[in-house]
Amino acid sequence: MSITFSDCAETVQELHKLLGELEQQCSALHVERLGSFEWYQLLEQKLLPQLGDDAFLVAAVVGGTNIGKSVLFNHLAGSRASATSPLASGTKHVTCLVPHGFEDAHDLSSIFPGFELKEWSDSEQALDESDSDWLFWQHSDSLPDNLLILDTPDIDSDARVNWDRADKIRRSADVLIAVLTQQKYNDAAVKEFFRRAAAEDKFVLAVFNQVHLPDDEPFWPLWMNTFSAETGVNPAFLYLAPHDRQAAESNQLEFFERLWPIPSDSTSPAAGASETNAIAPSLTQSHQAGRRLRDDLAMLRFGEIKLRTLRSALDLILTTTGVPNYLHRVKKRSDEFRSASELLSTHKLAEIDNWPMLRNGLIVDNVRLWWQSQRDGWSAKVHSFYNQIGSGITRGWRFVDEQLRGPQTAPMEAYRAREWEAVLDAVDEVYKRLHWFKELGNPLLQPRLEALLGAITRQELLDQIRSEHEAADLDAQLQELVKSELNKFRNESPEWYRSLRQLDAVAAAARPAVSIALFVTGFGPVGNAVGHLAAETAVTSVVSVAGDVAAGGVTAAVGETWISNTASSGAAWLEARFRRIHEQFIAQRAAWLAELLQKYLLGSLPEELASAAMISESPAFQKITEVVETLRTELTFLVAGKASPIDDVQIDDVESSGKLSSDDATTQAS
Amino acid sequence: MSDAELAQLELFAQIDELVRRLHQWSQGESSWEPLNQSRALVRRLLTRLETLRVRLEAPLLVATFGGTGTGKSSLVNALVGTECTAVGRERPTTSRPVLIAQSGIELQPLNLPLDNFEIVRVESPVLRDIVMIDCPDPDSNDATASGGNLEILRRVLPHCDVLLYVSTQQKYRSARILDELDVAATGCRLIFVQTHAETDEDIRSDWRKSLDERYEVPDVFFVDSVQALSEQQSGRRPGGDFAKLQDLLTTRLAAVQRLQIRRANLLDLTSATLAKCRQQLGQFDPALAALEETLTTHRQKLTREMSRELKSQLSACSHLWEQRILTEVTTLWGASPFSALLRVHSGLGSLLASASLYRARSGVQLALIGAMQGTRWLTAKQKQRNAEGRFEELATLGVDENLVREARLLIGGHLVDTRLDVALVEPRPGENARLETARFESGFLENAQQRIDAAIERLAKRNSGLLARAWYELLLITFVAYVLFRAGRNFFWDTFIDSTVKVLPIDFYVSAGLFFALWSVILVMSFCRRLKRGLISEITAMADTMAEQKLTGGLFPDLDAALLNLHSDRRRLDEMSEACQQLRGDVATSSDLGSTRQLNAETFVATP
Repeated sequence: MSITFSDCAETVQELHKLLGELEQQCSALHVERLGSFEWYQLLEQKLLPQLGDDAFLVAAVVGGTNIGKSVLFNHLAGSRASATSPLASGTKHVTCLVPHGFEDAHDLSSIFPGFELKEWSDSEQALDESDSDWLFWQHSDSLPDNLLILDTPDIDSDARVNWDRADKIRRSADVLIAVLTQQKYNDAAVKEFFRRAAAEDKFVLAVFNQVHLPDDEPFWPLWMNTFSAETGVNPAFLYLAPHDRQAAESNQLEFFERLWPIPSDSTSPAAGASETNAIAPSLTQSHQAGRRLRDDLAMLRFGEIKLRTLRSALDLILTTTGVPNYLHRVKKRSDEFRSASELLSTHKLAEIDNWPMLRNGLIVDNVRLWWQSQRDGWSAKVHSFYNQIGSGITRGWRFVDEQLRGPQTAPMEAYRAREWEAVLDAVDEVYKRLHWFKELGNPLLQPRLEALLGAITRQELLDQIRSEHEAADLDAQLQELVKSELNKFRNESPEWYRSLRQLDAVAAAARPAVSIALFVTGFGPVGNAVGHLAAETAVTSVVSVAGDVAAGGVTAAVGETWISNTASSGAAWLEARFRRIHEQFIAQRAAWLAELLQKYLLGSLPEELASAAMISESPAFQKITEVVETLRTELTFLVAGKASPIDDVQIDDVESSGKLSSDDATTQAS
Repeated sequence: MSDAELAQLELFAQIDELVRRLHQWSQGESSWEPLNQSRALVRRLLTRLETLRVRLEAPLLVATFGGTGTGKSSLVNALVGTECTAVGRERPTTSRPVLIAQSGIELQPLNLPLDNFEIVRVESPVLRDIVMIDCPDPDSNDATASGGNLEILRRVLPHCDVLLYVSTQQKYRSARILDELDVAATGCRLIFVQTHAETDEDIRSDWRKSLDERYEVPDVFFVDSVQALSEQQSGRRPGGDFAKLQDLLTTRLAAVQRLQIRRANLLDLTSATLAKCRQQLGQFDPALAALEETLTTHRQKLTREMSRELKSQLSACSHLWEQRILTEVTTLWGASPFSALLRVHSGLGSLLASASLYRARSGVQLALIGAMQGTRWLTAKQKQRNAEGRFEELATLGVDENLVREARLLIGGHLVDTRLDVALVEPRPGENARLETARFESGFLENAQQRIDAAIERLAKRNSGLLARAWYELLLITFVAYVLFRAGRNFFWDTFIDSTVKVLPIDFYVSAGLFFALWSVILVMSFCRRLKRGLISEITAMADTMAEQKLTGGLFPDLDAALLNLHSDRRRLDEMSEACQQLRGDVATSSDLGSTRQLNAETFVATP
């Protein structure tokens, strides 16, 4: 089985797509952005654009600021393609040399994603201070068909945007032409850059610039050793360029090749650093005449290098520091969210235990209302006649009462006020619990909880609850509840209901008789009211919800104790029913508050946590694991089938154009 | 002593004073965490200042600073005139700081970790007044690597007074070095040198441009160290920039300049720290402002609520008003028929009122009854009330307890935002929310009592002028006079003249008495009406002014106290910062030495 790059390309594209999906899903997880991972940038900037049958080589000149990258680039270009300047960090943008006809077969902007492409017109363009990443390209006649050469900004100046641009090009590149000087080869920033290049297994040509020949001849192997040991970069070719400003400015700089690593049969240059002849091997083998780097570049085995860099890029993505690491992070974060979510759900935040009781009178009123609706025929008429009289009298009573004791708040309004008190209690309690959660210090919940505990959320929450609390139609709620409860009672125990109705009818029959008796005994209209009270009591004491004859005013007069007294003497079963209305009403109201708290305070937090906790089981996550496995097997076959088609093509290409392979070049040189 | 010296001394005294204030400020303990952090920072500054103070008179420490390969060691050798620190082409060359001093100079007072240094004793004119340190580079290691050159450098730099910043054409824009300089430069004077003049181009103007934003750059020297050294070794005097640099080191860093340079460094450090503290605390400003605004609005809301309730209660008990104003008027008028009548009326009223005191349901009613009853009696009554539980009586003023609880909930949120202790708004131990309200209310009512008294006095005075008094006295006396006249004429005249006329019967006197009673009632009632004229507007005005007034004691006294402390600490910090800026301006050293413009308090991370 032989696997081509284009086979891999599909898998890689799928991986890219899936990763994008996963990232969207775990936006709540606060995992680092994909773009912040080196391997992901490699995926986007190297693998996606370059995995294809059509191989081309990207060679980039890289190095610290003000060490002659552009000078070297101009040497490669054969003209002043990039501006040089004695001032540091001059080059801000990328310049690219493109072989003729290359852009017809390839889309340059997809090869260099993230860059704004501009056609080259002037070497000063690259010095422009601009925030967008530009890439200036121009044709070069002398380039092989599939070689791109780039000049990059520096990697160590205080203009950090330059670093980013150079990093992007580094990822795209196959060949890096590393420009080093004796001042910079051991700089942390420079070393860091090349350490990454080494990890990506780039093909490196090192150029030591500004060398004082022959004084520095004994030293460069030491420098190179340090650089190599610190970064892991092992350059395939090494050149020295003399410190010759004039030559550099007139694009006449010479490059002398040196063998690297120094063959073991020669005396160690480090040991005989002071003796000039100790470095004889490298001196003898190098022609003292400078070499044309472009020719050396053209001699590279393009196919092999391409295979090598693509493979190592794939490797980097698939090793433990790549995609698996990302998946691991996501999973770990997701697990953390699970525990946070469990913590939240096990300790119910919006739990309410103290809720005010409704005044009995209010329920009694509603029961009476319901009972009235159940009466029919003559008894209904008799009762309603007496109730009319009764309520007429109690209205007067209430008027007197108001005069004496000042205006009284309606019982339901009083209840509402007490309920608000309970609401405040509950909210206070919730905040105490949230505070406790915050102190527990789950780092995931911390910022969210802090926002919840802040003043703005509190104000909003209180305002919301207040407005809903004031808008709630408590009377209607109670009426509805009483109705449904009593209807249930009627359906569940029809005998009880029937016997109550009979009693009621008896009471209706007795009422006129009582009136007459009282009238006769001289009570007059007042007697009527009392009679009304007495008759009503006869019925309602049995129902045990009697207390209130006509309205709240009388309830107040008679007192709640009286009701509970009659209730205890009445049927316990009905009493229990009555209590149930109480409890249900309270439960209903408490549930209302709990729901509000859930809605306005916690919001989507519990759901978000729950969904974040489930991400490691999501299809995208699973799929990525599979794709990574597929890629791994594909990669091993790529390794096995070294003669992948493009490789052959490339070698043919190089040979047909009459250039020598690098191996030949070195043997010839020696 | 010359004037200049005196001025100098005065300046130093001011700096010492500033340090003393800093010390004092840093000692306090606050319930506010950010403030404590700032104080910790200042304490760290003080330890560093202490090491500075100890070696105030010791030779200045001049350290090289620059990237690897920029020729720091070569420059030192050239300046000293002999090869005393190793130079090389392999990087990094210097990884252990080299201290170069003349043989006579004692190093102990410099308070340096001498074990970490290689010490070289050389005689050189440059070293007459200074000690030089050739430092390792900051850029060949990763910033996070331990044990590397950077770590060694960071340990050494805080001891130094002057940095010799060495750079080259290749390295002058190196980010790592600039970052490190940013931290190191606070508390140091700077000298800028471009080396490698033999090969590199002169980039000084571009360098200066890039430095200008962050540093005060008086002069940049462009030198060829190797040539300068060989010139000196061959007995010639180097010229050009190198000579100027040597001159700067010998004259501007001479012994007489030490104090000034060190003071300037000290002020830089202090200024950086104070700026950092202010910035740390300043980020809480919006949250604190919001907290205070909420506190104010809630206080106003409560006050408004209370004065509204007060108004309704005050206007409800009109009979109490009447009583008090009447009493006031009778005391004003002294003895007269009408006032005797009023006294009888108010006597009856007091009887009722004393009964009503027992029934007094609110603080307002108590306040109204107040002065009318004997003070002793009232205090006794109040004591009894206190025992019963004052809050119950006071809470009847109608301050909605829920208002207080809402305020607490909201302010709790603000406390979280400002990182203040949440316990500041919790009720004090043993006190519940009601009592807290009561405390607030009693402050309010104490005020009300005085205002009521004043209002009564005012009303009494306004409605009992001489004219009104004369008018009512006249009306009363007229009736009495008429009855007496009738009776007198009947008895002394009519019965004598005309025998048919009989002496007025007892019926006449009964009805006259009845009419007198009626007349009195009418008079008293109309007088009372008159007295009460303007009462409503008086009450409204009183309630309104009370709503506007600022109560001294808030709902949350602990929080108020904490905020007060916090503001005073902030103010002191600002004052010190201002003083420090002022002194920095005064002490500014001559323009030959560079310094940083953007002070950086991160310097303390490396405090020795």
